[in-house]
Amino acid sequence: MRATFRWCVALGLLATVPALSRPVACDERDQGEILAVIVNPANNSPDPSFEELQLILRMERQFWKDGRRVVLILPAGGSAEKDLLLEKVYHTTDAELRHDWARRLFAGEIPAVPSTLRTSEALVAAVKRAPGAIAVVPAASVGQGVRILAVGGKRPGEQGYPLSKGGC
Amino acid sequence: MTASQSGRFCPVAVVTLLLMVPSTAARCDPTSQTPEADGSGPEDSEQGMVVRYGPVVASFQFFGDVGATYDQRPPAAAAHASLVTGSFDFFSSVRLSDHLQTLAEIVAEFDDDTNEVAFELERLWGAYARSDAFYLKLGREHSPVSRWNRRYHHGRIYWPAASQPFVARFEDQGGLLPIHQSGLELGGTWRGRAGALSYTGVVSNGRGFERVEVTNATDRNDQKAWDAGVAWAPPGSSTLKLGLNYHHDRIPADPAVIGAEDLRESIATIFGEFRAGRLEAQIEVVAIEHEAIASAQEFRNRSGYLQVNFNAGDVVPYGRLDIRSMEQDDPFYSPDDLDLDRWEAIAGVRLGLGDHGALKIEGGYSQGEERDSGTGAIDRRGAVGATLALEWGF
Repeated sequence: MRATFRWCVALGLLATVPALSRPVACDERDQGEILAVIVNPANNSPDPSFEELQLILRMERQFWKDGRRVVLILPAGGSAEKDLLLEKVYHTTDAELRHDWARRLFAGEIPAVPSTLRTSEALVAAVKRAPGAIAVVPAASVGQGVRILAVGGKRPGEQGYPLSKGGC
Repeated sequence: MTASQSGRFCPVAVVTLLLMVPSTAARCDPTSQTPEADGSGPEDSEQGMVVRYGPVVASFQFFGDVGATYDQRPPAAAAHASLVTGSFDFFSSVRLSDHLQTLAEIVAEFDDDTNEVAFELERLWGAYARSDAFYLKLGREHSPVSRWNRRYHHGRIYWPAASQPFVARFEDQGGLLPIHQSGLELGGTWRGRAGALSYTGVVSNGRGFERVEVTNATDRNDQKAWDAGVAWAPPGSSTLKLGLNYHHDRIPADPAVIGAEDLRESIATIFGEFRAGRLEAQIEVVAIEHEAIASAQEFRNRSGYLQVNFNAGDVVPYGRLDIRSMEQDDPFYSPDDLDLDRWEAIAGVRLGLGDHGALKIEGGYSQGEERDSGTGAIDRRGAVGATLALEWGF
């Protein structure tokens, strides 16, 4: 039993060696902390300012300029992406945000509570399918088939991009 | 509304509807195009009960409340203390397409006077929204004369207190204002450098013969009521909102009352909502004028409240000062003694019980004029009261 434990510790330490010894590029290290705002490629709305993006993500603006309704899809509660949105956009807790969505639905101010998907892949896939959709995903997991919005004239990873934590 | 005024719904049909909803609450693709097949459907805890099929997104909510009250000077035939089985609220909002939305709300509650249950269709409307700047809504909705009800409606768990202020009370609960209306509403929001400007215009059936009557399906005269309102919020801010609304109506004389005459009703409402950190405040002031058209008599009434909440997470202490300054013998209010002055100060605390429940404990002192039913003499008296309410919604 004791020998087994030692082997486990040794293997665990060995497993950390490559990660510790390999130099990590700045981009690679921080991609998970940078969020990209994605929309369907058919959406030709101009890139928003950060204030305009906040209005869309708060569902205070519910229509795109072409008249299509905004379909907001959010990352799951407890994810790093949701935490960053709560800090940068909503300025509240996840519980209070859920309460506010429910109250606004009840007041008739929004026709439905924004959908929540568990994985970035599912968020990207949903945006590919729906012309009015908008979602926020880690910049590293965007892939093909969606349009990435510049926010306030900045692309994800650029200096001054608002949806990032810290920065290189 | 009492059952006789509002019409009863078949309880069997309502129960069937309620039972049907959870079983059909299939969760599919949030973009409404195809069902999810990869197990990455919406998070259950964040969306509530949602049914999707094609472009349709139907959301359902349920609310309930129970509690207890104490009143040092209760109404006639009522005890000082009562345990209260409150209301049950069934709500649905359906997005039919990008531009079409419907909303329905049914409330079952017990009548204070008869202890009988009554079902009422509190809201039922369909809306077409062209853009953020323009929507049209047709049906029964809460009137913009009361900001409180436009914001919180019948969802008691959303109320910042256990009780409503005078100007927000419903018609059948001693309310002063025409809270419910059947009509056509248009509105929208423009956003610019100066902030967000919202506008609202309404044409509705207006009041019925009596204060408690809501003219849901049949108006009592050909003159329609109308509202015009605006609200403003500074740019990039959700900490301040200011607004005003004007309501005009011609109230028909009740043919059952000898000597009654038509009244011209004008209601001006101003409101403000402020938030600074954990502190929230809302204020609403209403001026109600009734002019008897034949005799040219005028009656000027005022009412308003200031509510302050300190949002400390699950514990939210609050207080409210509420005043009603009425002109005696206003023919529209005097049958219910609502033409008498009254003020009320309350303090309470809202305890959050997770995402879906709240316990509110509230106490207060009120003082007001009372009319002797025999002599008609008016006296001023005070009383203390308390409310305990357990509320939930999901």
